[in-house]
Amino acid sequence: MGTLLSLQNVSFGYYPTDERTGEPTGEICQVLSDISMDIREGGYHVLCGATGCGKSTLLRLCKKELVPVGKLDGTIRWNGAEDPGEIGFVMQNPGDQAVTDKVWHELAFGAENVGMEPGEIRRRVAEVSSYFGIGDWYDRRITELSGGQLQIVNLAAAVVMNPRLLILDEPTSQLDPIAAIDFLRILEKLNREMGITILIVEHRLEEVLPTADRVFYLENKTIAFSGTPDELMRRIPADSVIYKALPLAGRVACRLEKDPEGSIPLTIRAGRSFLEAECRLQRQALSRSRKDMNDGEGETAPVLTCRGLWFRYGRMEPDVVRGAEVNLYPGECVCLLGGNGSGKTTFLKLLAGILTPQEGTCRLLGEKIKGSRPQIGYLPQDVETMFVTDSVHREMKLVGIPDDRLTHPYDLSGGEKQQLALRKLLAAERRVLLLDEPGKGLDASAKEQLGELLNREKEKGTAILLVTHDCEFAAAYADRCGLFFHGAVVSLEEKRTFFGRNRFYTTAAARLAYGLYEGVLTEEDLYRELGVSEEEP
Amino acid sequence: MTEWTDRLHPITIFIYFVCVMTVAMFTRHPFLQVVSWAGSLILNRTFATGRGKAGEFAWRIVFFLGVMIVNPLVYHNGVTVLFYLNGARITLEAVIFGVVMAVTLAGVLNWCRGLTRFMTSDRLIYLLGRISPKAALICSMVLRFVPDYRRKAVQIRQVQQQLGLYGGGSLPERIRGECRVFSAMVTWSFEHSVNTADSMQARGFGCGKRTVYHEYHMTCRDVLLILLSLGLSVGVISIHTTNKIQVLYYPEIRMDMADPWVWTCVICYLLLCLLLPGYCGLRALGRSVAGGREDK
Amino acid sequence: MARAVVIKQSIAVFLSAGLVLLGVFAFKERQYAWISMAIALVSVLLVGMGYDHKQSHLRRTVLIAVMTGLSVMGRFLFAMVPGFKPMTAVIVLTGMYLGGEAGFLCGTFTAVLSNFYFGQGPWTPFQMFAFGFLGLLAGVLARWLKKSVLLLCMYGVFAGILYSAMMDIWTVLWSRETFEPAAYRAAVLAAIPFSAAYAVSNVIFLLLIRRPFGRKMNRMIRKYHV
Repeated sequence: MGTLLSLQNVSFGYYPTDERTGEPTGEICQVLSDISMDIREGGYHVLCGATGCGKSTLLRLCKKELVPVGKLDGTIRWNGAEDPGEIGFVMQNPGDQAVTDKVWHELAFGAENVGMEPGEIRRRVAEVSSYFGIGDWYDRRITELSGGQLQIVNLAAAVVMNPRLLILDEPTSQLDPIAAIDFLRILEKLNREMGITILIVEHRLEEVLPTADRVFYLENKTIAFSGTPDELMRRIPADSVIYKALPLAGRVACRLEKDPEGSIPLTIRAGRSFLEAECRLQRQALSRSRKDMNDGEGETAPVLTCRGLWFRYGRMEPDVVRGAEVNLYPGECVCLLGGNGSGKTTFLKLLAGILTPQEGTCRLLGEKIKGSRPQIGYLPQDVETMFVTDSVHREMKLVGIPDDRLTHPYDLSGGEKQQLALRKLLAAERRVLLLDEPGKGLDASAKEQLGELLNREKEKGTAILLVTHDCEFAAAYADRCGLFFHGAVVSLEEKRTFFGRNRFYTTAAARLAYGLYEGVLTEEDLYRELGVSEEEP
Repeated sequence: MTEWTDRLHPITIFIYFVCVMTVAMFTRHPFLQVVSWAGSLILNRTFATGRGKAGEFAWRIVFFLGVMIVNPLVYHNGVTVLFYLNGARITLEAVIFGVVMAVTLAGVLNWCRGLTRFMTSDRLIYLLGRISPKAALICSMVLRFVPDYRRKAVQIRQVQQQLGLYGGGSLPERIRGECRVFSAMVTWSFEHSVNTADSMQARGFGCGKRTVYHEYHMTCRDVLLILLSLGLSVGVISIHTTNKIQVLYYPEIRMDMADPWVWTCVICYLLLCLLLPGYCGLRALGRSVAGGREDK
Repeated sequence: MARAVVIKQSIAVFLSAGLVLLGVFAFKERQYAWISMAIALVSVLLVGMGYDHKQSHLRRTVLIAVMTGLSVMGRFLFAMVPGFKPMTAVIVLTGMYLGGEAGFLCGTFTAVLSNFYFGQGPWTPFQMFAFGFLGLLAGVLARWLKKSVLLLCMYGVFAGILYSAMMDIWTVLWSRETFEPAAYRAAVLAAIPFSAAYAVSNVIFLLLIRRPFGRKMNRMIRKYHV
């Protein structure tokens, strides 16, 4: 395998501007320093690191057209033609990348730009859309597609130009888990069947590490590690920022034996066979009975109850919510999990009073509610819709909280945006909090912050209802969990019962331990069962 | 409805509508107007997918009644006095002129509706691309942005309402609320356009001459339709030019009914108006026959 | 390149002049309506053809599309209030910051694309021309409009009145045979509430989005060298 792209001693810094005046301050803000890495032809390369460590900048340096404005030192050598189609680039937000109004036009867009003959474009577009299985969407409008479909179209649009290298900047962070895995499968297929080189930044290391050939770990503005995933698992310290994102199977294996012989399991399947061997060795007593948590029912009165909610968007449209019911008790956190299009978001909007149900009632503290409900706080999925002004200062002034930051809300990181939105929401007294996919696109530390905030609210007696795709988050912070399916809440139970009985919608630890150790829900449970203490490195 | 017309080339459709609408908009002859109106109704009937909105329909009726009534109330030319209203003469000629005006507008608006239906965004972008590829791209982008922006604006409004920051029922408060939503949308769209621009750049936009990709082909049918529309409209317009088909409304209505040229002209125009609905009807018929045969 | 454009444009001009003449003879009674529509369409066409050969930066192209999208969306947002629309303000700002041709393009596209939703009619070419003209003029006057808020507001008022007056020409030409000054006066008088609403909304929206827009533009220029 030859080297396709090589970076030698690359450093990069940009010129920051002053927040107040908007003028450059004259200093250089170093983002990357002394980076050397080789991208090998046909390889699957994963780049990881904490949020804001310069991963995106590094990716942009690899694509000539997107090099940001700033001071660049070192050499970047591209071992191929200087054609813009040679390197395909897919970004984070699926909606922002589509340029034209129809799928077919989007696929042809890149080829049009380089002045390809219409006949040739036709052939390529036909070929690629058959390969990607998007023939059915070919005539659709871009706006009709879901995020997952759109991201696949974006990938296909890059592939039409016949790239040798595909660079992807967190392509799945805005997708739900199922769409994300579909996307990554296609990527894997491109790599294996077409030999297209891949360089990807991805939070879901659990999904990409098993396929990766090479991992680069970015820390302190430079490449702290580069090697195979196996080497990464062996060498990474447990207090590293990305440690929690690594495949659970591998972490468990490394925890059990300092330096396991053979390869480290990276998938659930490999992890299970590893654990099975372990299980036979240990033969220890199973099924420690656990005291079920009190789910609150019967003791205190619920804050919010809703009975038999039915909703459809238009007279001729199908029902989206079909007789959904839920009780929320003070100081508890309820998580609703469920697939895309199951009506979760609509259900939350009904509770928040944004939409009015055609049938059914909502009661807040026993009283029927209609119209505005200031005691209920609602956090939308896209928190940017919460911001209507152009600085944090003004944003908080709207709700009467002093804050002298002049930063634009859009310039904040994903986690900070979420915090700001929540603070804006919690400026007023809320008895109930409704959150729509609060963990989407956040990294581990931002999720932890969010969880702490939720815990604090719980202590104050607020009832929290959140819908999410993230089983791990639900397992960590919820009291009760339920599945939202086909417009109604199914199996709303205490979280241990819920995740313990689920086979598919459950945490990685539970899937890993299924049938081997009982009652395992989180990573800590698993370690306890295995007899490895948490503190041990 | 698109399946019958999907195969038609944008240029065919463009030429057809230009031919029909030129006459419909600029003739004053009542017969031609009635033909245009009837033809446009047939065209829209062919594709009546479901019911139109009742409100829209009512609005149209009011609009046309308005056009019809205003004319005799404002203009008092003409010799045949029907009656006096507050001392003003209401004349037959003015009433008839008002009716013709209303029929003209109804016909032209119907043709416009037909045009909007046939001129799908893909076809419009293709035609624009022939004049200016860049403008065509901008048009395509706008068509992509608008539905997105509308959806986002609704979300912002909902969230603001929930937060209690969006004024209640009164009009000034709603306007204030909408202004806030609009200004938030300005920011949102700007921020996100940066990514769109990057994505365009990453796919080589602006690095050379752009080609315009399309999937339209001129077929014999297209050529036939174009020739027929051009031929018929040249006929109609040239007869029109010779003053054979002239109408005077004031002071009294005068028009030549017996002249064969008038009827030739009207029949030519009738054929022109029925050309596209006829084509689509035949295609639909052919399909259903073929489909029926397959069923057996 | 430039010569080819000139040739193309002059061919277009001659062709359209021929067509105009033909129409004048063919439709004698309504020749004014014909001429006015032809002028509107031809001018839109010419500017469109000219724009294609302008070397313009990518982000500008995107921004024109964004601004047009915003102004079309604005028409939806304020559909409940007749006459009170942010369209002119957005078009004027586009002309000011991105150049007269961009303003013209934004104006014409706003008219034709928003009419796809709100109903096309024989008024569409007029609207295209009127909005386009306001954008173009804002581009020409950009230097002064950027300097003084007062001038900008005055331009907003002027734009509202001018737009209304232009659309009144359409009304008169379509309801009468010829251009009658008396009828025009009546139409202008009848449309005073609309003109006022246009003028007021222009000023409000210009004041509302001028600063965020200017700031964003400056930020983009600095950060990305638009």
